[in-house]
Amino acid sequence: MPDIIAAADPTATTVLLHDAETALGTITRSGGASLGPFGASYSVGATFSGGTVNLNPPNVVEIANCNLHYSVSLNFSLDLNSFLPHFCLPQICVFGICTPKICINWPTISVPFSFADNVKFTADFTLDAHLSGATWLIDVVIVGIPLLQFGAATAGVLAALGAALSLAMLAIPFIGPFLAGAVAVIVAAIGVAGLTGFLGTILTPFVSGLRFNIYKQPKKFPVLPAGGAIDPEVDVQITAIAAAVQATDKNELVITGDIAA
Amino acid sequence: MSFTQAHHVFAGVSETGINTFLKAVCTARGHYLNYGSSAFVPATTSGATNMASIPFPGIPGGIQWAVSLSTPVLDLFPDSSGGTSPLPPVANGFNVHTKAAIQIGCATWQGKDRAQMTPLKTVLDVWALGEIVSHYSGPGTGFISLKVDSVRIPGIKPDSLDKVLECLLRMILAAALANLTLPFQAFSLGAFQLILEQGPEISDNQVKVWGNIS
Repeated sequence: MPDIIAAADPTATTVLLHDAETALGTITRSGGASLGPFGASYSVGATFSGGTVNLNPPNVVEIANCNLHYSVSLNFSLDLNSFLPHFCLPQICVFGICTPKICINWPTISVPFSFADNVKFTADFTLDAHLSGATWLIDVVIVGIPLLQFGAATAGVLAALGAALSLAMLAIPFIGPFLAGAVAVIVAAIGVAGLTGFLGTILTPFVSGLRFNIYKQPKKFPVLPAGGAIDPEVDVQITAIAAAVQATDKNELVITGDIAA
Repeated sequence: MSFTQAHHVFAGVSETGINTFLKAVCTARGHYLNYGSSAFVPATTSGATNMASIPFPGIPGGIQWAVSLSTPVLDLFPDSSGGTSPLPPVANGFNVHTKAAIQIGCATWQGKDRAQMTPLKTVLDVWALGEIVSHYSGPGTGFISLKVDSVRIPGIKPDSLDKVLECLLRMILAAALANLTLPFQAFSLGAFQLILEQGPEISDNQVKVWGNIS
């Protein structure tokens, strides 16, 4: 018999999960990715919340409807030369005086754009109890890569991106008002598929290999705090920790531990 | 049957675990188990408690004494001794075994001269029955302590001496064990903050608690 047995049903394990989500905090990443036919650099912050735990023997912790909240700041670079026609004013000579050949070089405009949204996912996790240095940890570690299903709000994000592009183009001297009409073409070129592809690319790393820590205690476990000069702290050594899903009349997360004085 | 039953969490400490906790507490804070007057314990430290000598008219400096208990070993119900225990645990209780070392300074003196003292020591096997006492004041708080109900010291004759020693050691053991506490937090090795709903109960060689988590 192990020295310690602690068991939590799915309701209590859900509480442990929510605490772990809070402890994980905000994770950030940055990089570059394709947004439809265009490129964009981005930085993204993500947090996790909610979800319901289902415990399935032998060792599966299913987390259903976990929220991935993300906040994206992207810099959308648009080289107008890539879709506006190139033309040059030819050299003209009159009475031996020639004008230079003038070629129009369209600018690259940079459009900063930020948005935030939420995507739910459901995934199976497995239990990983291990000693890291002098700390015992129990993590639930995602198995595989869940499908992130982006909802109807994606179209709204696309419309907001179009509005941001319009504003940026209107600011271009002389041709801005004419270019604003091209926004619809650009947005159509990106499309919902392009945006969801972009989101999938930048958000998948957040869920790939995702682990929530549901137990963290020092190997030298403090039983009683110091209580004065003659009452030093009392510790025991945690010599083993294990975790499993067990099924009887209800499914439980069972943590077992052994200790030494 | 699930561990959590009708509750959301369960925590159980086996008697091996309880005894490991007790060993850790008694090793770090030996003064809970070791008491003596200045001839045996010159000053209070984490290892022992200095007490006054027993004043007695005509004995210079009074009677020097010391009592030391070995780290108590609990047997949680049901009996794990295989029938050899002189005081098997009863339902929802435990028995505890310790060795009580009683010393006196056997003094000789002449007039008001400083007494010459020779330490004399006896060690008694002490068995006791007891129960867990819960001290819970809110989510994530609380602890258990040990309460001694009766004591047995096998092999003491005559009966009147047996009764005197049993009463003496019941008082000492009860006072000493009342200091040995174990927080509920340790029951789960810190896995969760317990909202106590049921227990502590002793069965299956474990101390068990049930509840919810905060």
